[in-house]
This record gives sequence, C-alpha cells and structure tokens, in this order.
Amino acid sequence: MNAPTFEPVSGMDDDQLIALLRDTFASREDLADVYTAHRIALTPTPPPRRRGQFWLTAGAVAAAVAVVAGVGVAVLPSYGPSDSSAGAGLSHLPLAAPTGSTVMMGPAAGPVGLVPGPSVLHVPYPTQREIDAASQAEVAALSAETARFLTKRLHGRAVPAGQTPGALHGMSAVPATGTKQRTGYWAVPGSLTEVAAYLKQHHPGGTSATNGWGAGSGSDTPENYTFEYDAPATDAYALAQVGVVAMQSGSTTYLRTDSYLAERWARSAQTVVAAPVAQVEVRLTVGVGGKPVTETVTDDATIAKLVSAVNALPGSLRIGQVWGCVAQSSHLSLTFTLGSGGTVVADELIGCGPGTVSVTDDGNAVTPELDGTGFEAKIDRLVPQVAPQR
Amino acid sequence: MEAYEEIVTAHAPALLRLAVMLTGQRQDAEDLLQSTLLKAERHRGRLVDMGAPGAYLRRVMVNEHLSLGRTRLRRVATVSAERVPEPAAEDVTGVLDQRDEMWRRLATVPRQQRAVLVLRYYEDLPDAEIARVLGVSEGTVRSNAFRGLAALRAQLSSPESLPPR
Repeated sequence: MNAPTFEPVSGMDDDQLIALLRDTFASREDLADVYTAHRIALTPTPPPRRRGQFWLTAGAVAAAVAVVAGVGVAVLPSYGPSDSSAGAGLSHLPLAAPTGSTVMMGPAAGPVGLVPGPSVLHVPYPTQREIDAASQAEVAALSAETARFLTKRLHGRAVPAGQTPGALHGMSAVPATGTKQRTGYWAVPGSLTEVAAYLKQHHPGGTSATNGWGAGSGSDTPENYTFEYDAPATDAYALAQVGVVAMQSGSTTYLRTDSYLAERWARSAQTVVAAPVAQVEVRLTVGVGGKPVTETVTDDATIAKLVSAVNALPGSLRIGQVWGCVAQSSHLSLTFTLGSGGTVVADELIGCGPGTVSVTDDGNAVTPELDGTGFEAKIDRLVPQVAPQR
Repeated sequence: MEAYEEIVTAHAPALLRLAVMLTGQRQDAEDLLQSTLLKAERHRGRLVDMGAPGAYLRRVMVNEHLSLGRTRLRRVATVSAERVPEPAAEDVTGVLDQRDEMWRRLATVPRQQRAVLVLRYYEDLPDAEIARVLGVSEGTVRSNAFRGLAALRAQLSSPESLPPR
C-alpha cells in the first residue's frame, strides 16, 4: 500500500494527526497473521512442565521416522506443522496431536521381511472428530473474517435475509451442498459498480486474492456480480472458499456471503501401508485395453518413499462425487508386498475427476478413498522408468 | 466442535490484531494472545454463555497487557523516546514514512495511554466502553487520550524525527 500524503506533523491539526494514527494502525495489521491466530486459539493448553520432561511437537512427531521398541520401522507421512508445503492453512493446527489421533497398528506379522520382529506404527492422522472440529473452526473463522472485511472495509452491516432482494436468496457463489457452510446477508452503501470494483481488488482475511468473478443478469435476476476467494486446503478439508454475490437495490448494494468448506474423510488404519515391505510393483495402464508398463522396486530407500507417498495422502472429500469417465481412464497401481506376505494395492484413476486413490488390502477394498492430488507426479519422480510411457 | 473452541477461533484473528497494536511486536502479540486465551480458558463455561464474548476477550487481553506491563516495569527500565533504536534497514534506505515514524514513536507512549489510543482509534470504541474495558472513569480515558496524542505530536514534531524528504 502506498503511504498516503500527509501534512508535516508540525502543521497537522488533531483530525490529521488522528487520521495518521488510524492509518498507521491499519498499515500494521499485516503483522497479525490469521492462521497464526487460529493455531494459537486451537492449541491445547499445555500441561505444566516437569523437570526432566520434554515435549515432542506434533510436527516433530510427524516428521520423525520412528523406531519403536528398537525393532520396528515406520515411515510416517509428513502431516502437521513440519510440512512446509502444506501452505499456511489449518494443517498447521495441532490436528496431528499425538494423543487421541494416533492410529496404532501392529504388532506386524512375524515372517521375516526387511525388518524382522514386531513393530508398532504410530501414524498421526487426524481423527474424524478432529477434522470436524478443525472444519467447524475454519468455517466460523472464515465467516468472522468476511464479516470484519465487509463491516470495516466496506462499512457494511448485517441484515436479515428478508430485507435483501429476493433474487439474492437463491444465489450462491459456492456449491449448494457441503458439510460446513455459513451464509450471511449484508447491506453496503454505494452502487453495485463501486462495490464490485472493490471486491475485485480486495479479499477477506485468510483468503487469497479473488480467484474468480463474474457478472450476470437475467429476466428473473437483476444485474449481479459473483466473487470467489480461496482459503488454503488442509488435511482436514480439501476446499475452503468464501463466495460473495452482490446485487443493487436503490442506493444500497446487498451481498450474500457463503463461507464454505468440504471436509475430508479421516484415514483409517486399514488404508495405511505398514512396514515391513519387501517390494513394490508400480504399474501403469493407459486407457482401456492399454498394455501395462510395470516396474518392480526392491531398493529400501525407494520403497520407503513409495510407502510414504501413499501414507501421506489425506482422505478424500466427504461430498459424494460420481464421475462418468472411468472407461476412458488410465490407472496407476502400486502393489506393496508386505513382509507378512500380504499385499496392499493403491490404485489411482488418472485423468478422471480429482484423482482419487483407492486402497485394497489382500484384495478387499478398504475405506476411505484417498485424495490423489499430486500423487501421480510424485510417483513419476520416484519411478521414472514408468513415467516416460505416459 | 465445542462452542468454546468455536468462539475463541472466530475471535482470535481480531484479538491478534489488537495485540499487535497494543504491543507493537509480532512475537509479543502472539504471546499476549496466548496468555489471554489461557486466562479465558479458565472461565470457558461463562464465556460460552456470554452475549458478547468478543468484548470479554478484548477486556481480558487489554488488562493482561497492562498487568504484564506493571510486572515488567518493576524489573525493566523504561525506554525514553530518545533511546528508541532506529531500525537499521530504514537508516540505510532513508525511506521512513510518517507511518513508520508514528509506529516507532508509539512504542514510547505509556501502556495505558497507548491502550486508550488503540481502543479509540483502532477499535473505534466509545469512551464509555473504553472506560469499562480499562476499569477507569471516562475522564481518565479522555485525559489519557489527550496525553497520548500530545506526546506523539511532540515527538513527531521535532525536526530530527521527521521523515526525510
């Protein structure tokens, strides 16, 4: 933001000094990061420390490769605060707290694989309850930030839905169904053109810049503008948005705001690939009837990364989606042969919808499906022998 | 999700902004938010039943901030305006604008006066509400505001503190 022009202070009257003070405060709001605020708010009260005791943060736990009881090896996903690639979203919240959200697996079956003996795998996935809590908190926070944005920046006031143009009620800039949604109605002084110009250039706290806007009108619908602002996806939810619809009536512009997010399924223990793994077969089949390209991976380091790639995937969206492109699609399958002799298969449908990965354990489908965003690219890098065929 | 967590999460961004304005430092602001929420957590039952939990949380924060100030004043010498260190980067580039100067000088204003300025000109609270938050009379609010503004004006008016042209 450019500094406004002020008179030299010595020549300022009280109003000018106060205006400079207000502007100074506003210019420092950026020091208060909305996600830091959320993280602090949702951080459980720490118990009093005792001498000689130290804590592992959720991030440290998530980042660790745990060797439990000296004999088990677990390759953990990079959930939690240590995952710098997760953006500034609520994935930085203590979803992955070691207590209450730990999936404990094992002891692993006995036959000698890469690592013999019993093992216990601690995987810090958020539970469904934690996902629900984080989603509820985020939608409340998004809604509060939107309210602040409209009242502080546009001098808007909340109004009952009944006091807004009827056409606004049926309009939403975000999907009509979702697991978490909050709707508000607002009256903002000024014309639709003025308000829309502002909304194109500014966005509520916690969201990125406008990711899309449109204008429309019809026989039943007055001229209106719609805006969408994205908030970062996290391990708890895949889609977080604020949608705004603006419509003018008289000298006032009325807004409908929808803070919306689609939460994920919590991962179950059955979907986790547990060490020891003897080998991984990576198979790509392009289209229906295509000849599969297969590569068998046996080196420990790559196996560990492939296991981690599957275990790092968050659950898929809880919103049911039906895709009609199965027949034309390609499959990327990873078959993990466990030390116990069993197999776990992670299969991604490529080029159809959001890239969901389904998991089968010894031939039995297990739930939930996983969000395969970025999965194919990661496997490409790990097993380039298969990648060039695509 | 429990109502308490929902309330504090919804209010946390605004509280952190308030903390930044009160303390002037990001890290201090985060510490202040944390200590505020720790205090509030002890009364979570009451908070959930309140009609305006945001006002309560704001009051807890401001008083926590003033209380911390009183504790520290006993141990730390106050910093006079003349001794406020200049930010090194700004010294080099010479690009201090008046907002930078104002922000820097705010650090020298006594805590209670600064709190009044923040509540009045950032939170836009009326004096009666500020008096309730601080537990003082409206007259004290007005005198604190007057003194705070006067101090800022005096500091900002001195030629050496004006931003370079």
